[in-house]
Amino acid sequence: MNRLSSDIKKMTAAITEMGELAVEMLEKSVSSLINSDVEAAEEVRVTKYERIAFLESLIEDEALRILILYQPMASDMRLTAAALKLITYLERIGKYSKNIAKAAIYLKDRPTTYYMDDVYAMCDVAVEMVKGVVNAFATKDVSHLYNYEELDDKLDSYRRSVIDENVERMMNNSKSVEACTYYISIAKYLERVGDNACKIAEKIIYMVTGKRVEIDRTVRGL
Amino acid sequence: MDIVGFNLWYGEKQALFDVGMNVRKNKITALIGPSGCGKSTLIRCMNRMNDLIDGCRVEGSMFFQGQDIYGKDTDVMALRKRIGMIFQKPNPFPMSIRDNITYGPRIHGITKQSELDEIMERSLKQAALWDEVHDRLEQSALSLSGGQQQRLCIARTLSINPEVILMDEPTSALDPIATAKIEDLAISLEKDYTVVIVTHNMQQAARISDYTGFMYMGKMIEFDDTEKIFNKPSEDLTERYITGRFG
Repeated sequence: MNRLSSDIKKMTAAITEMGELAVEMLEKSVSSLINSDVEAAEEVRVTKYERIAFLESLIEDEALRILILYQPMASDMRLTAAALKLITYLERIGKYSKNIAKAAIYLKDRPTTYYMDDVYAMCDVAVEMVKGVVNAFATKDVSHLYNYEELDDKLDSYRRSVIDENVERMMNNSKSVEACTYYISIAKYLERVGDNACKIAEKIIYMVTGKRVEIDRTVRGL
Repeated sequence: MDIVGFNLWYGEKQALFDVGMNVRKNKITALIGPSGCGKSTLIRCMNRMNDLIDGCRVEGSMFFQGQDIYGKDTDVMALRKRIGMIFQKPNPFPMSIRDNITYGPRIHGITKQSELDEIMERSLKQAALWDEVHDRLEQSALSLSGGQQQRLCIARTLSINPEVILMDEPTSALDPIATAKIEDLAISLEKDYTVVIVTHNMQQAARISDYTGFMYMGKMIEFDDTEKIFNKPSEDLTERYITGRFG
């Protein structure tokens, strides 16, 4: 194996680790929210987030080094170009997970009997989307990424329901304002996770097929 | 220029196999591939430089503006006037800078000094060399640096108004700065001339050419827009070569 191949392999392994870590952070932050598990939430907030931030700069350095040293072509070029964008989106997913974990810590002492199904449904969709892109990166099978716009729309519509429900609660009970604000924020984080998963899907489709597609059209207000 | 089903043998050994490609007018076409793949052989066929090699035999067609390059009636000297060539190693004549440029026009019958001066200045300017040599035109061309010598050779080719310029690894003996000058020059020539360049430097092919052909073991494996070849080639062999997996 030549040096370029071995450096590409190293970078690919780091991206895979970062992707799996993003999935883990999202799942853990969601379960810490559901189970009021402060320990898990703290782990996401501190240790896991530090690792994902570290991987972002590590992969950025590696990708730039590959560009400078080898001026890669074709699949190597597409992977390297995609890597520079993927790490930003994955780090943001990590950051939203960290924010959800922080919310879980805050909400632990404020148990709710509210109707939470829409928030949980959002969690399921967001996790599915992030798992899907991480899997596509590993397998190079991008066929399921083309329906991400649909999943993204689903998240948007759940988010609107979460907002409506919580606004109503706040209007009926002023003591719930603080907790409800958190739930609205959590819905926003999950919706952003979906947006970032769409951007990752676009980059992975480019990486695999060489074609540029636009999945998340809402970004441009279309 | 249209090349169709072109084969070439050096004695018993076949060096080109059923090569087909189209060289577009006023575009830069690059040929890439590992050493010995036939790219220099192919470019040398385009102005019949291979005629000079004993035992060299060709089959197939190579048309330049409808004229068969290998046709029985083709005047090879006239062909080479229309299709000039730049080699890997700069090869100025051991004479003054001025005489290097005016040599070609003179043997093609131009004798008027003012006309020769005009050709010389235009050619040196086109080759981006005028500013560096206009005050020492009587000096030996061999006193120039390697990069200047290569641009002088390009000016010498331009002096006889060719339509196509073939470049066989024109920068492989030059440093990066001289290389950049030749690349800029090739791009500036594109609007008036058709350029075909053989290069080992894939980044160079990507930087300057409009079309790229990838050759391997005497065959044209893939020929397409340069952007496509270096972004998402169709053939696995091309992908493996340009990503450095072999060759």
